[in-house]
Amino acid sequence: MVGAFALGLLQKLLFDRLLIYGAKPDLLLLLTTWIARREGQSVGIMAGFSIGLLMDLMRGTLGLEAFAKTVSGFVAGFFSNPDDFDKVSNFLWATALAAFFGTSAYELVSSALQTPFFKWTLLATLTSLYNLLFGYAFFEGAKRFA
Amino acid sequence: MRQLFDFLVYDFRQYILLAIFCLVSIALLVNRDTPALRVIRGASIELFGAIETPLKAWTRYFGLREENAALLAANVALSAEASRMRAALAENEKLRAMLNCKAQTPRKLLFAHVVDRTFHPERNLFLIDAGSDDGVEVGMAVLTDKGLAGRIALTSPHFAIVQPVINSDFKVSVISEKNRSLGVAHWTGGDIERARLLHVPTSRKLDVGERILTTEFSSFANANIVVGEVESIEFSAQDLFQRVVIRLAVDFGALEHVFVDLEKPNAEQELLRARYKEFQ
Repeated sequence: MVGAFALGLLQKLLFDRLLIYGAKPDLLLLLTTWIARREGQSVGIMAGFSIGLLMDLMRGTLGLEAFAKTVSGFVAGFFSNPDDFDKVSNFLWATALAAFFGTSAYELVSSALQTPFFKWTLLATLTSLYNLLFGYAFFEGAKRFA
Repeated sequence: MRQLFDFLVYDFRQYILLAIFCLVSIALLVNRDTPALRVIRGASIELFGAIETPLKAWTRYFGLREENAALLAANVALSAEASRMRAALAENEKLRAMLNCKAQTPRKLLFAHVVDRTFHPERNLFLIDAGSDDGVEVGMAVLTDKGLAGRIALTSPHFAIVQPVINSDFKVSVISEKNRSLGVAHWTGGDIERARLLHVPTSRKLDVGERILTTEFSSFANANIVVGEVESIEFSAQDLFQRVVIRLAVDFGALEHVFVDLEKPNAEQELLRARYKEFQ
């Protein structure tokens, strides 16, 4: 949780500013993906909810990030095969899909399902691709800490 | 029964957890403005605001040179405008006296720093270092020297969250300065320098370059605060409303200081509106 808090501060102070066409790198998504792959889908869902709620509290909103990260944790949990844990490609696939579905969930819930199809799929795809760049660095860094 | 329990807990555990946590998240989202959750949100922005303020402080010293140059230019322009205003004020007072109008009191403005910003393609938010202990209340207008910046969405004792004009949930009733055409200013995402002016019938006249001001009947902002100026107007014969783009007065890309307008619009009017809603 301390790690999540530190990453949350870093996210707010630095990574939130690296917007490209609405997409941004999401350190807490990468953390959720890492936990979900290591501990399994159930823990991934709970970790996603807790991390999202922490981010909601840091931003003064409530519920949106928790919802999106819960979905991301669930999706990333499908990649929790222990044999593949050290494979970077497995982590990047999990990151891309967790980012896509998490962003889609965020956009659709925040706009009460009013966001046009083209707009949210484009944003979700961009967010996925953008997070792949940071995902590789995160994976290598996290492997040394873990 | 035991088999069913095992089946649900072991085979469908993750789906049940997903459903539970998604429902809890949506319940939190829907009820976020209830008094209990407002207290929690207020306490969290107080805590995180206090942590972030010293971390953010160092960034203020970058760009001071440019800011000083801009302030100097603004000072020169304002001095010239002040001279014109003094002459206009004298004439205005003479005319008001002739019409027996009530004198207007100057606004009480509270200076605040923007200590954090939540970046989002549609729902931007700002955190400022002034809160309920300074007299800030939910619904107060937030201004800069250029014009309307937003309104207070949530407060804690020392901090407040501002819902800026560049948030797609923000709308404000406005009027054009010259032609007195009414409309609603609304930002729809994307470009942070431009917003739309909605509900202006094609029959109303509007000029490019005309300033757009808040109206007397805005629920949170006092009248005559600049929102922007008309940049383009489009409509065809079959349209009911004009498609108007306004260039926003405030530069949200470089927003560092704001003023909170501590004078809310007439509270009696708000009470009357609230009571009317109860009848509906």
